[in-house]
Amino acid sequence: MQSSLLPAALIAIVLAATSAQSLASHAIYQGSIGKSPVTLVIEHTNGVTRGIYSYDRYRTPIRLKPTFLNTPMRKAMDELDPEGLPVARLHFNTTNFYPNTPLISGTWTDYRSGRSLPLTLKPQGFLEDFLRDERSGTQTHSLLQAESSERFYFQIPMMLSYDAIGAIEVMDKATGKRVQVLALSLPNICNRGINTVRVEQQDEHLHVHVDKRQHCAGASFKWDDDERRFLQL
Amino acid sequence: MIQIRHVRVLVWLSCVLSGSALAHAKPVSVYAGTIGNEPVELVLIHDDQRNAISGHLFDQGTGRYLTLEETPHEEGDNLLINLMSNPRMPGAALLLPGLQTAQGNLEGQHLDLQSRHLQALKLKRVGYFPTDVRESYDGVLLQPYADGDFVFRVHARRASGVHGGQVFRIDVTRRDGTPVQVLEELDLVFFGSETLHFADFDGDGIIDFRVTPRLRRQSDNALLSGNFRYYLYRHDQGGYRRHTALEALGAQGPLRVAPNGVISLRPDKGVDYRAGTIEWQHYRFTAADTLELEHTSQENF
Repeated sequence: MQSSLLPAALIAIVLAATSAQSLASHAIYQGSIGKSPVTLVIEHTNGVTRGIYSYDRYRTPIRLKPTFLNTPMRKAMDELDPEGLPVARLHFNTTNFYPNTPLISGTWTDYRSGRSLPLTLKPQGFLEDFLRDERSGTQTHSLLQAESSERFYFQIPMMLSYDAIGAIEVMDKATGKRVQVLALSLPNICNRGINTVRVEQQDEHLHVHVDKRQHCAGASFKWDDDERRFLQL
Repeated sequence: MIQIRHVRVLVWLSCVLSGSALAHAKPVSVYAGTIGNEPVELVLIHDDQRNAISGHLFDQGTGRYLTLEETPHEEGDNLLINLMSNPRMPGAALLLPGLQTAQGNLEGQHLDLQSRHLQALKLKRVGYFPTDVRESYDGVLLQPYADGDFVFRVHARRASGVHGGQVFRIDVTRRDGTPVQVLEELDLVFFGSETLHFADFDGDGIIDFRVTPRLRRQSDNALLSGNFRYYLYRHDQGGYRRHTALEALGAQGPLRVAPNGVISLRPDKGVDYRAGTIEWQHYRFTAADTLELEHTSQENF
């Protein structure tokens, strides 16, 4: 038994040394760009860092371009406009988006004008890929979603980074208050972090989807003007 | 107890690792064409393990290099990649829809991030250096060096089924394309865009480079990499020449290059593990061909 394990172990060591990391985590921050309060979510998956942030006044999530933040020189992410083109660059003083970093500072620089504003972020919550200790399992965080509509933004409550999806919270951009909870029962394979919810304007109707894929049945909802709420399709 | 089959696994692993040590690790695609009306050369380096793309853009009109910021990319997805004006800030970005490894033609856009001016990008593949040992290649690859007067290109080839490519020629031109020198009849290891390692070894303000020669072991004809070969720019000869004194020094241990032309050697025999000391020998160029020992020092560990 032992003898047959040795070659496999040798190969595993080589593969482990060459493969990308497969851990996932989400870090949620609140802070400011200049004097404007913002909320920022950083997602690490397989060595790639993704992110979104929103000005608390407008509550429209703004995408950051996926990047690698694992080299000493790379501590920046690009802000994308609605067409997906870079419009500004966020420089961070650290890329350690983990609970042991109490404050992240940096700058936000507009590409067009070259104008820079100070950036400060304080951690509000972390979602790890597994429970690190008993305490971390007791807290649920609402993970902001990248896609939004003119009126609503969306959140998914979860305890782990890639938890099963039990609900989508529909939030009003104008007030920041929850207007509806879309109850679901989807396995964690459906969870795509900040990109789980897809928003679509179809025939003048607003649709919200969790996309169907292998081992994920998905779910779709449609805004009903008469009932003034989303109905499951 | 390690059995014969385990030894076979170890031999297989060592073959894989030694083979890869003589090969470039990432497929490289070379494109030539235009951005707007400006002629450009684009080098895309595909990292299949990290699902990433990096590379360089060479503006043939201005002779300017720009580094592409390493960006996550899944095969066939749209690529939005920054062109770095400096290590901290990009000045432009390239948009390449549905990019595939080794794609024949590229059509996309170049976005000036400040002015938001979009220009059409039209490129044709002129070279491809795959890592798959079953594929052959024979082409010319730009070596990225962002400063200085010279542009360096290596000619590399590999037959199908052979591990490791061979560089047999290096072209040195000025940034306007004027030929400076052709180094021929070479037998060097091809490391893709990192075949030439640039540094100002003699501190004369002109960039020099280092390469790795290929050697055949007589006993089993195995391909090996030799000690570094150093090419230094000689003002009196107007070109690059091998520096045998530096090579002899490099054969004794790792070298550290200071910007003022001081070369520090850490002799392989100069590490005393019991005393916890490392010996350093510091040399200076006293003439184009000669290096003289200035002093020695000791490092504790």
